[in-house]
Amino acid sequence: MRRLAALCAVFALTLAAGSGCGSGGVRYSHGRVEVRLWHSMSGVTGDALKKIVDGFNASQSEYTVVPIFQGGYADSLKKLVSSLDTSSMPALIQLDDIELRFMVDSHAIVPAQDFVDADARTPGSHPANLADFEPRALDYYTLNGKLQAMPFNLSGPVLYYDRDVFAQAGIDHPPATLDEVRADAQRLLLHNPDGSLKRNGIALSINGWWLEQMMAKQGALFANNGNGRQGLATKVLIDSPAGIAVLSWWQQMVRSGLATNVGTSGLQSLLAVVTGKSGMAIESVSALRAIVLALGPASARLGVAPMPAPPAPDNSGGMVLGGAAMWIMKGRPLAEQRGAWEFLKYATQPQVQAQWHYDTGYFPVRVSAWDLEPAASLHRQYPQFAIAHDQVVRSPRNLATAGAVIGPFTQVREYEQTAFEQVLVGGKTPQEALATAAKDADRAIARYNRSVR
Amino acid sequence: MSEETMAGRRVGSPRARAIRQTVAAAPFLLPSLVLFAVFVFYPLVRSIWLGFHATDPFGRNEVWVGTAQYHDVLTSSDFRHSLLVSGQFALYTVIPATAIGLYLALLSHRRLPGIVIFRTIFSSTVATSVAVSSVVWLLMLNPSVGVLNYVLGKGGVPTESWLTSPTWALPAVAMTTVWMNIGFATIVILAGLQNIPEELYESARVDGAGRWSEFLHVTLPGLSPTLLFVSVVGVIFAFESFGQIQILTQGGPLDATNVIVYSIYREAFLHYNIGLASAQAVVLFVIVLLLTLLQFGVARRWVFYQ
Repeated sequence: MRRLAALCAVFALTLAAGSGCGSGGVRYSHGRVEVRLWHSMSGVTGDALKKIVDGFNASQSEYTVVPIFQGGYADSLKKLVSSLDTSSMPALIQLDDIELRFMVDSHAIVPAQDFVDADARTPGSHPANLADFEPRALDYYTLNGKLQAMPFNLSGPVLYYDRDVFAQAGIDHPPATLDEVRADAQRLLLHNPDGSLKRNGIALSINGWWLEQMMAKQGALFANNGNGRQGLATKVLIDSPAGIAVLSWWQQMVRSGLATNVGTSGLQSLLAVVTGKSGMAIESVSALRAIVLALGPASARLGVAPMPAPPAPDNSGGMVLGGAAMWIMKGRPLAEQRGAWEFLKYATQPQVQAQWHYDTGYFPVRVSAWDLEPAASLHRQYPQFAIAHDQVVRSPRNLATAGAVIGPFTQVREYEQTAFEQVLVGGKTPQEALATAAKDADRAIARYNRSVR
Repeated sequence: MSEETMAGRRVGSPRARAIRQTVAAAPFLLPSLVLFAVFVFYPLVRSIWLGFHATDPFGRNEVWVGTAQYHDVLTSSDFRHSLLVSGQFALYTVIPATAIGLYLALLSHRRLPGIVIFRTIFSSTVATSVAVSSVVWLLMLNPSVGVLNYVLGKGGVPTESWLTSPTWALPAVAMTTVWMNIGFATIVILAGLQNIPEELYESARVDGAGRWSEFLHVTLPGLSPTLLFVSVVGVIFAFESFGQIQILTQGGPLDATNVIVYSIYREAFLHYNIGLASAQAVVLFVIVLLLTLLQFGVARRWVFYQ
């Protein structure tokens, strides 16, 4: 199918006549407008999304949403970029949080705000009740004063820990700061009779997201110009005291053997906790549902706590609400765009979000969804979800917790990752590594900013 | 239609004959030419073009920038590093895969009942996709649940986090690639062995040659074109490797496995610096072309064509 599309594209180019391949008309299927949705949900989350789509398709007779799994977010974006201005472009695409600036700069999307405003002008429409949306999610996806994309699946990092192991070590509450993590890790160490380490304190994976989150938790900006929200970001601020504090802790923990570095795969760190090789791990809350499904009642042993971080000076710090959002593409005909918007309104209804939260463990986009069934019963059965959610609602709303907006964010994350690796296995100091990463990131940002002007 | 029947029907000047042959060949060549044009020549020309243009991340607004991007590529320390990694990777993969392939081909080049089973086993990796074998190796190399560390641990050998260690990641990826390439090398070398005339061995034996000197003076010279082919293709494979890197290490840790093709991929499809990536791709093309020519040049001295 893709080869066919590629062939089609090539012929269109060589003949300079897009007959049969043009990006023109509305797609129809069985008399309804067809709205193609590219997404990155597979397995449990894929099934949950399918449930929402089926619900929407059955709820009305004007549109048919066709969900198409396109691999991870990066793969999906790659395909989107090569499909821009062709007929294979979808009307709706789910992309992860950090693509915000990139998508706005593409000029290939219609801001969700435009549809919100249009609904407000149209009598008889059913406008989205933004007042009931998680305000931190709206904060994240609002740029240039407009809601650019519709937040859909929300997540954040949490601390996972083995409650039994904590109880055995006589620790009665999970650590809140990095110093407490170090102290607890010390008590969690377990040695084999031959003196080798049987269990370490915490399994740490390498991910730029951890650095970004821990900086926000200190109330620190990740990028200049108000995290890129008051003006175009031109510099990252990772070589600040807030950034250095995080990497220094990381280095000490791994060097002293209190922590194990599991590399770039976050699931490895969770696996270490589940198999008893580590007492704690830092991972996204989006993994929680799958673990609970796999372990069942045994998952009561797995504790969840807010992600620990250096304390913020004046309670200005909090979590950045991550996850992904849905984007409406400008290149598709208006009828398809409208169908996409109607679908988004359906998908973010409180009842639908309560089910979505129950199925996937992602935080619901709607505030009122939290207390609806089946979400409420999930919280009764697994209090871990409520603890994770607490971290969201306790986060103050400011520029630091709204999250950074940078064009080449994927590239910046690579440099963050390199900084981690240089500190953990390359023998550099956190100051050196972060200064190098900042310099490389700034160069990438400058190149990007130049190219989109 | 053979040459003689064509020539027999109408004897023309050599030139007219050449034209007739070309016309006759055209319909047969056309399908593959079309495919080459679409999937090779057009992308090649387009890459060269894009190498001289800067675009926005979406591939729009092409602006002529001359050789600036080529200059960036050739002076960038990251690119030199990737070149070095690719070279190391070729070294680590081509020599072992060819040697092991030769060994397995020699083992199975006998008339024994059931030898086909062994030939099939030895060459089976050729039928395994890069993705599948990479995933299998990813599990085997896993530091906590992988079989490799389990066996090493039992044997008292120190275990290693293979794919997260900057020292071991490239050898580990090379090892998986050697395994993948063994099948291909074995098949081709086996075919080469079967092409060496039996009389040569017979006369060598009549002259009193031992097994070793038979191998040195009959087998190796007879195999030399095959070995050249296997090594040339191996080097090209090595420089084009992508799947195993993507699945096993994503170029890390600390760029230890960031081979050129991976860095091109990263530049084009993760950073969306399409012009820069195209310039890198063109430079890679020239390098592989030069390497192949070099191998053929050197080979003239030792390859023995019958």
